[in-house]
Amino acid sequence: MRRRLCSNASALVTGLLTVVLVTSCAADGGDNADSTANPGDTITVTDSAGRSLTLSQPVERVAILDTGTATVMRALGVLDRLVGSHDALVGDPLWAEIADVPAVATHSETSFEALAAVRPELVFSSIRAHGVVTDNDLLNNFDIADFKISLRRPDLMKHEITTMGEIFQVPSKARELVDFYTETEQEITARIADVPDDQRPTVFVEYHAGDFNTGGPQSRFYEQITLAGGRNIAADVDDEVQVSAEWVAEQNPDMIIREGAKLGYGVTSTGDAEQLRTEVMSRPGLDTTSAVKNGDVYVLPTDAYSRPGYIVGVAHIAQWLYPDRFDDAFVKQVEDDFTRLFYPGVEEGAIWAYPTAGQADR
Amino acid sequence: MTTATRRIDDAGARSSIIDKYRHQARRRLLVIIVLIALALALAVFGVMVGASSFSWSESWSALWRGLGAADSSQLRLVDQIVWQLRVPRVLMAIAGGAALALAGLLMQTILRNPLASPYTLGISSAASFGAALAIMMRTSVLSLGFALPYNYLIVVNAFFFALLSMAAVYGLTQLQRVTPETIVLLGVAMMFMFSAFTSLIQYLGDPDELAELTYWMFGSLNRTTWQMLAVVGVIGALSILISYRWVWDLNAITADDESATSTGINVARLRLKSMVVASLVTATVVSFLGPIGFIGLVAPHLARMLIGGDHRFLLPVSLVLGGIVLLLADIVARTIVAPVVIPVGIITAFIGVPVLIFLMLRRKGDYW
Repeated sequence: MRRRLCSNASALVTGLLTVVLVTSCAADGGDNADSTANPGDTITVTDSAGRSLTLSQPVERVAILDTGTATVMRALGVLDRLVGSHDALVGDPLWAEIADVPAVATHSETSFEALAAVRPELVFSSIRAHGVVTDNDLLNNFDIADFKISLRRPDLMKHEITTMGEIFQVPSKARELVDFYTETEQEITARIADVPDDQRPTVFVEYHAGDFNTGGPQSRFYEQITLAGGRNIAADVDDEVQVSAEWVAEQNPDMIIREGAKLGYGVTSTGDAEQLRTEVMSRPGLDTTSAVKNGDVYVLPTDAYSRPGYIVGVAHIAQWLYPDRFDDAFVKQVEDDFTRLFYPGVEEGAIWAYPTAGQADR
Repeated sequence: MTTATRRIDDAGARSSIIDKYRHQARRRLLVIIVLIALALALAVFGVMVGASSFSWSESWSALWRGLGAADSSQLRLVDQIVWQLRVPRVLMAIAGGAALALAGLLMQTILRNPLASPYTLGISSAASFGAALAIMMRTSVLSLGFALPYNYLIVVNAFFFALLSMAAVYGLTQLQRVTPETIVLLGVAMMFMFSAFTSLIQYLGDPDELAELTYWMFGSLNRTTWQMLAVVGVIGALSILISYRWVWDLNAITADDESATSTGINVARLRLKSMVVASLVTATVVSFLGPIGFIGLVAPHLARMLIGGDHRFLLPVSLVLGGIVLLLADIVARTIVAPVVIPVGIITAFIGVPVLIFLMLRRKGDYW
């Protein structure tokens, strides 16, 4: 029953997203050039929950209830329109330019009073919740539009960024971001085009909930492996679930990816990642797999796997799967391009993966 | 009535009572034997089935092949799955279920409270708080001078705070007269305090860590290893042996404190000793498996309905029933929608509640 429910829900959400996100239409006729709205202009968009919203443009005051939205806003060059931030960004040196923007949400809760006080026209809330749930009745009383967004699945990311570009009237900038994703994915696809499907390495992904939790198609954790040229062993699994150790052992994946390590910008030590990798490699059930026997167990941070930075994770996975086809320069280029586009001006170095190709104990 | 006739009647009555006692004892022994046989059959079944595609016969062969293997390099994949994953998991379900049942029985008896469980002293909340700290901070609360593997960090932290909760309740009971009500109230206080700490950590934590904590709090046998089983098995076995020495005292305390005291039992001391044993065994199980609920509450009740309140029989039957319920729940949890594993705590309730209600309705009388 659970499988059927999950399947139906996934199909419904995917259908809605596919149909409605691309139908977003701007009052300026959808010109690629970024433009300035005239007073009274409106735009009708559909959010990732399938709800249609008509917004007055320009949208100048925005609040966010999830951190990924801030990443995309910075990439679109509209971070100055942020009037309500997320608690996790406050005090983070990576987000110094919005240090004075008050927090309206934590990972667990939204402060509707704080949200109302900053008078946003639009709030980006997360369809993934994490306890962050917007109450539409409350928001309507303050005339705040609520746009639900995911920014966690590669297949939806491009549509969502395109829609945000339309909302903020920066479609060309949004196109630049989408092109970066598309071109990188195409480059990887081209380099491994001659590898038959049945010869592609199999991969088990364990996401940050740990303990054999993985995701099937339509989840946040599946498509990245396909994009990198691997075969995700969770192809027949619905949504995000905990699977049995013996099933993983029997599938005998060639590679294991553990998502959720404490890596990223400003991280200088791989100690946590190393500990996580050691724990996975010593776990009953996994230690019998080819992945563990060959040392092909890698960890990635959530920001480089199921967030706007997923493309960085995909580049690393591609290199781990096909080291003879993807050199360090390729991965470095993707990392640099991601930083240039999404974190312009950020000088902090980042560790995006562990172990990198040179560190792996093959 | 002559004296001779009265003697004959008395002898007849005594004989009737003895016969009745013997009959009852035989019946109880039979129940124990049947339950042990059921547990063994279920254990074999549990080793035969799983999420992988190996057939029953392959698993059966692997079970015997593994027994004779000199070293693990000779083992095939099916052998490794059976011996490294299924067998320890099945044994852990039996050991963990029995341990929780023991703790539940001791708590229900010494508190004379049918709602008492292994978690009455706030041990589950305290262990959850310890696990939350380990998951969020990736470090142990104890500075042991060496780096522990991550999964053992969680175990050590959970165990430490579970014992801390028990020590706090124990310490507080020394300040005033130990009554069942005092212990329950102190346990409730501990539970709320540690739940609040855990909530605070959850509030401050990031989504990745919260997801991991959430799964830990479901309770699971998914990570069972032989080493973990050895720890739970040894502590569980010692606790059972110690507790079995108290069965007559536990029988006496069931009525009321005054009656027990009149037979020479130090009620306060028995209560504290039982509390310590129940807490230790619970802390051990929770640290490795997470807070699996319901077993410790329901297994002693099921046992009482089956066999009555004599702890000489009640204790072993509770243990076997605890093992059976957790084992059955885990088999269902890992096979019903394989390869997906449903948190075992959910299944224990789904299996145990209907059984408990059925037995209560069928009994039509007081069993407590």
